[in-house]
Amino acid sequence: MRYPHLLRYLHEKPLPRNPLWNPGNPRHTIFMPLYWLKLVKPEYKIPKDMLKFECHWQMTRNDVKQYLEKLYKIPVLDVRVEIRKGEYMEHPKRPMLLSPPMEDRKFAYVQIKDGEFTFPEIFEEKNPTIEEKNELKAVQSLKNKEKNKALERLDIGGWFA
Amino acid sequence: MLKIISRFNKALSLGNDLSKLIPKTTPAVLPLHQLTKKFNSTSVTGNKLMEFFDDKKNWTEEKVKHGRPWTLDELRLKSNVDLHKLWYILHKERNMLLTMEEIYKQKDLPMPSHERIAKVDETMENVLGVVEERNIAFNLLETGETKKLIPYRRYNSFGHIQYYKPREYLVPWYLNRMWKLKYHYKKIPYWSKFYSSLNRVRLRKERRKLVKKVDYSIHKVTEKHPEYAENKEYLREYFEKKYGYKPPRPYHELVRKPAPNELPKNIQERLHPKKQFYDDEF
Repeated sequence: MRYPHLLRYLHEKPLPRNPLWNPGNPRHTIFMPLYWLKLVKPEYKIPKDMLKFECHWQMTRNDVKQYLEKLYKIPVLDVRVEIRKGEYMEHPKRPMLLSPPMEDRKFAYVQIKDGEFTFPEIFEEKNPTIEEKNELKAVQSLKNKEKNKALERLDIGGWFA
Repeated sequence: MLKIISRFNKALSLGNDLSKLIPKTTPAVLPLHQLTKKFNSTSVTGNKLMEFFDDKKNWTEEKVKHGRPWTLDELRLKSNVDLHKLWYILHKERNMLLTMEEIYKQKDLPMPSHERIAKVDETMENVLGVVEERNIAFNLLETGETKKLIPYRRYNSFGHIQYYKPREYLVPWYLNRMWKLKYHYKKIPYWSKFYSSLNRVRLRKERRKLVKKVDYSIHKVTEKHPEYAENKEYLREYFEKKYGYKPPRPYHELVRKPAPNELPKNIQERLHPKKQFYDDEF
């Protein structure tokens, strides 16, 4: 959910206004940037030298490049930016009932100059056999049935069923 | 292409072997991060990217040991260079925590000790606060002004009171026509007096409605419970808070442009903190 600006974390707040610049003046430098980047596992297959980051929604592609090159010493070839719109949450039984939209997110696809990277698997999983899968499915379906019993009678409340 | 290269090499008297150009022995000592961390990625940039992830020990644990955020008093003792170094360490830490949070979120699992993010953010806010204090002190010594853009309330060209956030302009205000039309009309128009008086009447009416509502509810309560009639002041306070009544404000005192050497509100609170009373002491 969205909070008002004063109650947000520092990394969720909008960036402060930059000082104005006139042509002919020396370039400004930011000594204390308020940017952030997070490495994200890509949903689809991307080339090995490509990285997917999520970044602050006010960062430009030049900001992403300089942030990576100066802070992490990673030489960058190219940056492409994508903005994903915040989705509405839909009720399973009542499609007309929508939540307020989630926040928009900005992603940056970064191409490295040399080297490659594959996203590490943090939760090492064994491939379950077919029987185990079926068992898990049966248990899950039972759970879901119990959980969704009261969905048809929303006005009464879950505890009543 | 090869011919050209071979010709070029002959000229340099290296022969056809290009291997002479490449050193045969690899460097004996690898950089530290290559020795200690062996992950899926083999290249140097891949190892640098592992800074975005937490230590491998903490991936499956429930809790991670960590300290408390830096306080303002501790950061005031540090030099500017130290603060600048700390700022970038905090940046790396926060990026790491955010990536880990995202990974756990996609798996629908709780992140181990997620409160670290809030603690890092608090330290960063404190660092910014200390830098702001130093900036203001420096500016006051040099120029006698804080150089801070403090928002305040002012009359606009319609005669209304408006919350105004000052910001930088490339042109001085007396050359900026749009700004003058918005905020600095030479003389407030004669009809604005009539207009603002109508506005004040509207506000008074709304306030009066709330007062009536409060009075009626007090009357109803005292009918039912006559023992509450002694504490009418408490009841009034309670209902005024409930219905959102606000007493009329002194408008002309609110419209005040802050002096150039006046400190912003957040730093004034630090200098003179409010006393926090507990329930026992009065």
